[in-house]
Amino acid sequence: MKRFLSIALSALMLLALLAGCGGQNNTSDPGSGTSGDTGTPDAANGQITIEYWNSAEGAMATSTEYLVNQFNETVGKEKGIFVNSVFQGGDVVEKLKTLVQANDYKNFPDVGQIYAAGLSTVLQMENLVTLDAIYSSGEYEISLSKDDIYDNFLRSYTYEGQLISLPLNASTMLMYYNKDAARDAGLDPDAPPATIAELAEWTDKLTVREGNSVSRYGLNLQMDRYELVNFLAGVSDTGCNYIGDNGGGRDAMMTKLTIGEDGSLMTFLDEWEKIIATGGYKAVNDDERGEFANGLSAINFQSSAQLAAMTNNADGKFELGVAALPACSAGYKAGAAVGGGSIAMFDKGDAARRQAAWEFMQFMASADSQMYLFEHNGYLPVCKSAYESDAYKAFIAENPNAAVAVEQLNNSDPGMQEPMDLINWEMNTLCKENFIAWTAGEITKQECHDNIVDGFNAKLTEYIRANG
Amino acid sequence: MKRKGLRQFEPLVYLFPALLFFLLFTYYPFIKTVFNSFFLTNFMGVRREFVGPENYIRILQDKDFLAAVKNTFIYVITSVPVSVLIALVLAMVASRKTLCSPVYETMYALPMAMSSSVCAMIFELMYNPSLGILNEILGTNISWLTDSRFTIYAISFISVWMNIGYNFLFLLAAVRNVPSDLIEAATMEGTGPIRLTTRIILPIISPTVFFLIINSLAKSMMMSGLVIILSDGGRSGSASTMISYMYTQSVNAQNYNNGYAAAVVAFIITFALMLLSFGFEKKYVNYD
Repeated sequence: MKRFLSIALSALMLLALLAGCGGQNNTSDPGSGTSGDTGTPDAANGQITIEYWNSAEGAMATSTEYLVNQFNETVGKEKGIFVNSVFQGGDVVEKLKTLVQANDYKNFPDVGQIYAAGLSTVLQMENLVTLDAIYSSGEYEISLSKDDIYDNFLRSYTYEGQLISLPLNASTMLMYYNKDAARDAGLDPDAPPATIAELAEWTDKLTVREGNSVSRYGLNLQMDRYELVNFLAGVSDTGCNYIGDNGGGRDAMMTKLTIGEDGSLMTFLDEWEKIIATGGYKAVNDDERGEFANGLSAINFQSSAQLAAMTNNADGKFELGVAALPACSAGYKAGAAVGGGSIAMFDKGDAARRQAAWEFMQFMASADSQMYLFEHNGYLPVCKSAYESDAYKAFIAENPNAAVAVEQLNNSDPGMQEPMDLINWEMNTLCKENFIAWTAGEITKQECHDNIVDGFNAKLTEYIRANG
Repeated sequence: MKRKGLRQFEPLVYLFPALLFFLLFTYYPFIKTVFNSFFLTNFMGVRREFVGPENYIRILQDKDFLAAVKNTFIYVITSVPVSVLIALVLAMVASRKTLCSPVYETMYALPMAMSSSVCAMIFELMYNPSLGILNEILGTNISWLTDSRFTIYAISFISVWMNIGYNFLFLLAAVRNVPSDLIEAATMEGTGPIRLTTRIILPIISPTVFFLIINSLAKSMMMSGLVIILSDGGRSGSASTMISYMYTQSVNAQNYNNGYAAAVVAFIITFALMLLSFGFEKKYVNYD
């Protein structure tokens, strides 16, 4: 009897277990894994629920939640659309890839936040609805015209001639510096360095040395891929350097790095050597922003998306200065690549859902939403109409630092974009490790140059062999 | 006597739930990984062509992977014995039951309840060269997590700290189970504390020690979480392990070819070490 009971019980447990597994397939349930859920929509009223997968962290997470709720309470309420916002970690494309591998298109979101590096991956997804398709099909109600979006941002999400996604949170890299420290060092805080040589001079003067050690670094910057790409833009007459062939990998697959053979990397390294020679340059990111805020370094390079946070951190401690990126040397023009993210649409096989997704996308890229992101994060408005609004003018008048990023963008060649270098993670490691080693005197300038160029090309060849 | 009917399958019924998950989440992916490691795979994970041992040849010539193998061994050698030893000392100290036993038992065991990501973040703050407490106390100026000479040991230290609690719990139970009459008899005959530990207590608790060593060994060989979280900002190559290499190659670099091969090599090395340890078991572990 006892035995029978135990068999029966274990069978029951197993059943419960399997039933639990099966329950996961119920996809249309809007309650699962939501953030910023304000209420359960009523399907009986003809309301459409769409899913938005984002990778918003920090201040952007708060802003995303605010904007989604704002949509649900205004446009959403009016048009019967409910957006379910789901945070999917740092990289949405990674999650989408998993779905594709499992051939599971049913669980795709309607809208996903995509970084430029993910464009080549999403273009291979059969349910992607490109922005080109949205604008050309005539199927959608358009309230945000394509002409209203800045060319730089459109180009940023164009791959192999196709405009893939709608720019959402756009940023450029900026130089942040401690104006008080500059004043104390006898530098003019309102005339920030325009070339790398001047940056070296600033670094030297801003460094505080105590015997053999440094108590304040003039410059703290870890040369990751993002930083190097932006600095290399300043080694050209136009402020545009694709770093690789095939238009930086945007027209067709990149097959090699061009910064070695065209000499631009070496030209840059020749200048950067002056910064290393000061001894006041810290090449490692232990906590760049924290150290800058605490007066342990005087110059920092960060995305404009950090503007609000950097301003808060410096508040009450020192006067924060913001400047455009320096050019490599006199005679060259600086440029800045557009960073940040975009939103892409995926087809769930229902025209009403697609239209609902598009309504949401337009809301996110609208002048009001973009101004919200600009004020609360430092992301540059992607639509031109935002720059003409009174809200923009009022904000800029109060926060002149915010205007620097906009000005830099206006001065940048729209062609200057982050390259589609396919192995961007490897590139990041190569840049970071070789610059740190070079600064520490472990390798020479030439070795730093060759390690980056040859290392990248070898890894890219390997990638092309597996994917080409 | 032959078992009849349903009864014969009874053990299987009990095993089935566990077996199901093992099959689904361990054995099937394992076999698939071994199979895929002989193919060229694109970034979407689609097999493209059979390439034989090419992936293995490539990673075995990759200095990053070889460094990762070496680092893994350094982690094992520095963290496994130390974490068991410290836990053993703590267990000996705490073995006698007193009024406040529960207090320090809990305190010693607490690190066990911390997730590795939380630990990583706490230690990251302490290790910060300019703002962290460690350099402040020691009066040094060391970049613990970015200077390739220190990274590996700094991370090893965290894993020792994290494993002590778990090891302590097991060893405390084992030490307390040593028959008290045995210890009393030995003490009366004038056996000193060191001799008492090495000749009487250690042999009796050797099955527990062996279990803990095997367990820590497997954990250390698979060590990756701390490395991935902590050395991301610095120079990743200097502290990477076989599994962190596998992870960064497949997830960050989208290079499944290197990832699959690294996983299989890591498995083979770990498996060989396990076999070796079980060889020691026969010789040194006392189950009487």
